[in-house]
Amino acid sequence: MLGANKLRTGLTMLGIIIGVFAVISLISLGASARRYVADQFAAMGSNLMIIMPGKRETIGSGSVVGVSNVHKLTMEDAEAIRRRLPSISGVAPVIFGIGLIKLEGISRNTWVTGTGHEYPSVRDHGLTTGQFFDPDDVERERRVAAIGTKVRAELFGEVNPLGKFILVMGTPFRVIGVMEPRGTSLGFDLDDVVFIPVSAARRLFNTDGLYQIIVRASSDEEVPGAVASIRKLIQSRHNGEDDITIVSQNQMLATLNTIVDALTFILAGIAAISLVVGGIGIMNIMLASVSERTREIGLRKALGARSRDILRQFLVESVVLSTIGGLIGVLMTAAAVVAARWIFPSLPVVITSWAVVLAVTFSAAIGIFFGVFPARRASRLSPMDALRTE
Amino acid sequence: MGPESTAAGAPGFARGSTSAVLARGYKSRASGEPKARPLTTPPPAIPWIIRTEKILRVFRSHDVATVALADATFAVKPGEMIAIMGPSGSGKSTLMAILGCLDRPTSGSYWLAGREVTDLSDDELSSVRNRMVGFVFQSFILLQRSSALENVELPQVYAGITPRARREKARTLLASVGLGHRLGHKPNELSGGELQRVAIARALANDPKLLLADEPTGNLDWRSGKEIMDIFRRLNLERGMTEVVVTHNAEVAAQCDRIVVIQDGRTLSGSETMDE
Repeated sequence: MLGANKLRTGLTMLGIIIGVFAVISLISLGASARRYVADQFAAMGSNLMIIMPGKRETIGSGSVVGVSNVHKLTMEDAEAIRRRLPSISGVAPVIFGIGLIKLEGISRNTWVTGTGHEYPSVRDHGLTTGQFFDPDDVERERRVAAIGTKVRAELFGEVNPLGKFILVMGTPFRVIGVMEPRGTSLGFDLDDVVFIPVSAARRLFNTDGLYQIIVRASSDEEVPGAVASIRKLIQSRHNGEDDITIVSQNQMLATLNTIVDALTFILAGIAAISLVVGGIGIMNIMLASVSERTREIGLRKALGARSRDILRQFLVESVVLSTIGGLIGVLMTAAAVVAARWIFPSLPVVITSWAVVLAVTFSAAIGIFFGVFPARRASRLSPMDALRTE
Repeated sequence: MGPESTAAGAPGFARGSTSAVLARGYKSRASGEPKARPLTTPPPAIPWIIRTEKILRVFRSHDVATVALADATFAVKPGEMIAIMGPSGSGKSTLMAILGCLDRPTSGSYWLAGREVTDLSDDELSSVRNRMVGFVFQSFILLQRSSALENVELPQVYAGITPRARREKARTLLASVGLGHRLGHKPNELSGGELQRVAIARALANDPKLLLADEPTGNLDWRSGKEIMDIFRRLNLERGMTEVVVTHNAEVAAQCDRIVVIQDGRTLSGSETMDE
């Protein structure tokens, strides 16, 4: 009986509890990651495209193959896209790197982003005070900067930064605007940034190539057409070579989802193995129970129990054992979710309901599967032999 | 226990109709196949409750054959209380197992309440044990984690009786063996004599035709043993219960109507009653 040896029963259940806990929490973690990624992308807008120099099969940080015959993306390329493609609502060339920012002895390493005047509308990133640089600032390479809220807080505190000069990599820039807080996007802190005109950044980083060009299509429907026309346009400008990579927001989302899903299923699969191991624990304990209770089985048979009555008794026991273990596992997962929400408020942790149903059903099935063998062994005992067992 | 407590226990000891029990308890295994034995051996004229003929039981393990019963032939009339005596290794236990339908003979015939049972299926034998036979063991064999009441209910559980009815029956039976005040006690809270009385109440739970007791006083002191034998005697005299007691205690055997002696797997005496 389950209650006869509480420690043993508890330890057996622990196998199932851990298995169910692992399966549900990993599947739920995967779903939470998926949702997190989707939220991040939704915040950026789904009609964005990012153009990068070099041909890449997939998105990633892999090095550009064959640098020599790859044309750099230039300011002129960005300008051509802006002027010649009507389906585009905004273009933001980007050069960026980490640079040292200084103000009266306070210094800080920060992302320095050189971009164009359309950046706020392209990335849907407005300003709280002041203004962003205009086409004239970019054209004339003016040393003006818009700073993120974190930079502002670190350097200026309560002081109004507008009109003040900061040293960006040794060059003084006048602060003309403060960006809206945007938080972290895919591990990149959008508030810890200094924006300067792309022309000034080119000189600062001593490069004439752009890191990327961010393009916003006028609508979601325009995206596929825009991708094609951008490719054609740049190809004609790069001596007929198709040497750029265009990634649309949806494509990135799909790729990330594929990665997250694959990880989820691999991890859940490993967790499922622990459930099976838990099932073997149940079989072990049921076999021990059958041999300990041989005499009881003999008695029950002598009193009129049929083989199927004994089979049912032991099967019910193993299913109860595994199902209770499964339910405790679910409760533990729920507790872990509450704890996770408390510790990491920013992560959207949710329990996936189908994972709960799956795990509990699976644990009950494991009870049946691993209970059948011991239960059959019990039911086939000869009543005479069983009664004589001491 | 006086006559008044016996009267209170009357419903518990009521004898059910044999034919009704047969109708419930027996199912023909292969109704399509004609059975050979009833055709060659005519049904016994006297309504023996037990009749065995030339029972042979051979155990085989690893090519070694052990003859446990060579020729067990005897019979018991309804309402008889007999003792089976014999030295250890004589085949007593094997005979008990066969009489209680816990085992099948290798060959020979066994009629229980007029019905040949040697070729019944396992499930049919379970049903026969459940409704026809009450077992009392030397070492009591009670479920340790269940109360006296629950232990007495157990045979009725397998008979499919409703919880309310079986609780009522178990209460009555425990009262009739003088344990009306011990219903909720677990086996480890009861004395040896009390444990055996719970076991007797359990044996009576489904109104069996036959009580089989295997050394019922073997684990008891003299006084408790006497109390148990008094209960057996009273059940036999007042309720007409047929009882078979396996023992090697002469004092116990002396309380029975008749003694069947078994030696080297053969019944030596007692079979003469068949010629009455």
